[in-house]
Amino acid sequence: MHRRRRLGFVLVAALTTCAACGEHESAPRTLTAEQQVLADAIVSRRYKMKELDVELKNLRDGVSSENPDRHAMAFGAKTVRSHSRGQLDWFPEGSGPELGIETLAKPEIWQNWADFEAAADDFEAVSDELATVMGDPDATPAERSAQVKATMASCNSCHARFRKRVVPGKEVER
Amino acid sequence: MSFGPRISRRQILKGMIHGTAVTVGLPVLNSFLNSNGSAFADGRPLPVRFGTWVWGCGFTPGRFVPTQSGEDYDLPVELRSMAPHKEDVNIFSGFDCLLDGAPNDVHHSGLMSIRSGTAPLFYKAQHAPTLDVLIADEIGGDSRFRSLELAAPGNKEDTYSARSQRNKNLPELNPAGLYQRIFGSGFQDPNAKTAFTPDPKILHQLSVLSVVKEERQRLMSQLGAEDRIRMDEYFTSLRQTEQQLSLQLEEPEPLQACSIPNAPPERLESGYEVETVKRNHRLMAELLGLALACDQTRVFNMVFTNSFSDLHKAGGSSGHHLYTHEEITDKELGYQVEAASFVEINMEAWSEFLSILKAIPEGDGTLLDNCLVFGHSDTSYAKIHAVLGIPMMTAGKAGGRIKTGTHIVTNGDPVTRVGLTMQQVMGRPVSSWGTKSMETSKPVAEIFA
Repeated sequence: MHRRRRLGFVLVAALTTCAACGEHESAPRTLTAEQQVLADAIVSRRYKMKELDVELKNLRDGVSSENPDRHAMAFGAKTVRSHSRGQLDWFPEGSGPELGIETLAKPEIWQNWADFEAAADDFEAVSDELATVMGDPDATPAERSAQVKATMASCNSCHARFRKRVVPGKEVER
Repeated sequence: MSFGPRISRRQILKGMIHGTAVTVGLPVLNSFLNSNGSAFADGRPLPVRFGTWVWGCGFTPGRFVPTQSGEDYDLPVELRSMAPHKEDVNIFSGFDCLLDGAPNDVHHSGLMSIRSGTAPLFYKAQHAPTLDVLIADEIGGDSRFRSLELAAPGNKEDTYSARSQRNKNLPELNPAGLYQRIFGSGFQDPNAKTAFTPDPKILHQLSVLSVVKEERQRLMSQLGAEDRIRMDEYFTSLRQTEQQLSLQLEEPEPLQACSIPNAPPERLESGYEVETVKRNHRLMAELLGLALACDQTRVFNMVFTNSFSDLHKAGGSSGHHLYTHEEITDKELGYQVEAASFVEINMEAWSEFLSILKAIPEGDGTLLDNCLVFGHSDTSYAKIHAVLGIPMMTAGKAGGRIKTGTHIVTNGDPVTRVGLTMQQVMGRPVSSWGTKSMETSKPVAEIFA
């Protein structure tokens, strides 16, 4: 009985230790100044991606609502447009997985930079149109809905190629 | 402008009222000025002042931003009260605060981005001096007060002028206090009849500061890094105080329209009730106008309402800020009716402020012509705390350095372009301003004269 209890304790302790040193829980380390800049870029783009996510979901909800706040949607679309403009700067070279900071950015971003740039250009173009349509008081609900869908399609197209699969419930860059 | 015979700038008017001798200092007459009235006769330019005017909770979308750009811009309903000043102001639309992933600290991030060029990274943070402080560093040293901060609601928290997060410029809270500060002890009437004599109290204060400074080195060597930064800020303030005091030992130049007003009542209610704020704002604006005319300061910051806008109507159940979040949007009108009424109140006050400056003649124009006043809010659509397209305006021609009467529209340029423009207009040798996505080296050149 005592031996079984002791064995159980050892197993729990061993599992806890394993979990603590798992690949996603890297031990604290000291970053060089250059690495810190890249790590900050990862954290910053994580927040901005989350903002984009929230704004687009709000817009999606808005276009399917019977009585949306049109002004709020116009500002939401402007936020998306604002983010779309500097997106390439969010991905400085070296801010991929090789830095050892958790990120969903695939190495393919930097390996196929021209393709990534084209995807970012596409997102900027649809976001610009999104801001125009959402700011137009005469735009029809169908036009608004179509533009939100087009914007989300641009997001998904880029994610399919350049973002790792999102693990549900895990707080990582989107 | 006609120029009569030369007279002494020290000449005064004397008389008797009810058996009491009275004297009235002369304003700067045309004879003190050059042939076109744009500068003093000895070539010195008339002082150009910089100020800011803040109101909270932005505007109502669809009711504020002019639909036309350029000189023929229209005045939507919330700007109707600006009609008398259409030619005196520039309106800036479509300029955005780019937070670069920093959280939107509501009613703070937008305001601080506009004023410091840097998005706060955490709650109530400030990472760079506000632009009024930078401009005061450039032009504030030549007057008695480096800058004057005024809070019409009478709350000491209502200040958005700061060298750093810990080094805020505290505001004057009521008209009586402001009067005492400007025209009380230490005021040297630039048009005074008597021969100038330095105030012995100032000489004494200067000598005390000198002793304190000698302690600096010893103290600094004993402090940690953070405290040394604080002490540096402290000694910077001390040096500035010393400069201001030294100025008071110099004989002031005579100035047109400088007169000493009657003191306002000692006991005036303060608070955020609309009529109270409007009255205190008007009295403070009038005193400020005379302080500027008397060259007591060249930089000011007026807060009409705080960024959270606690402005409320007497007997009302809620205030501006709460209305922006809780009031149901009128289905037919498409906006929050009560919240919108507060925007109109703010703009009426802004218009009144400009009228007060415009009513004071100076040189061949008005005091407003020799000012650059930056009016702005903390958010655009307050209901969602939007920091894109926050309303911004400039008023006055800055002594002829800028053109006015234009609506400038961009498609999401950083707000820092406006801040950079104002710093350059006010003579700061700066070619770029702001950080990260808001760093810019592109002023709004369209308004340069």
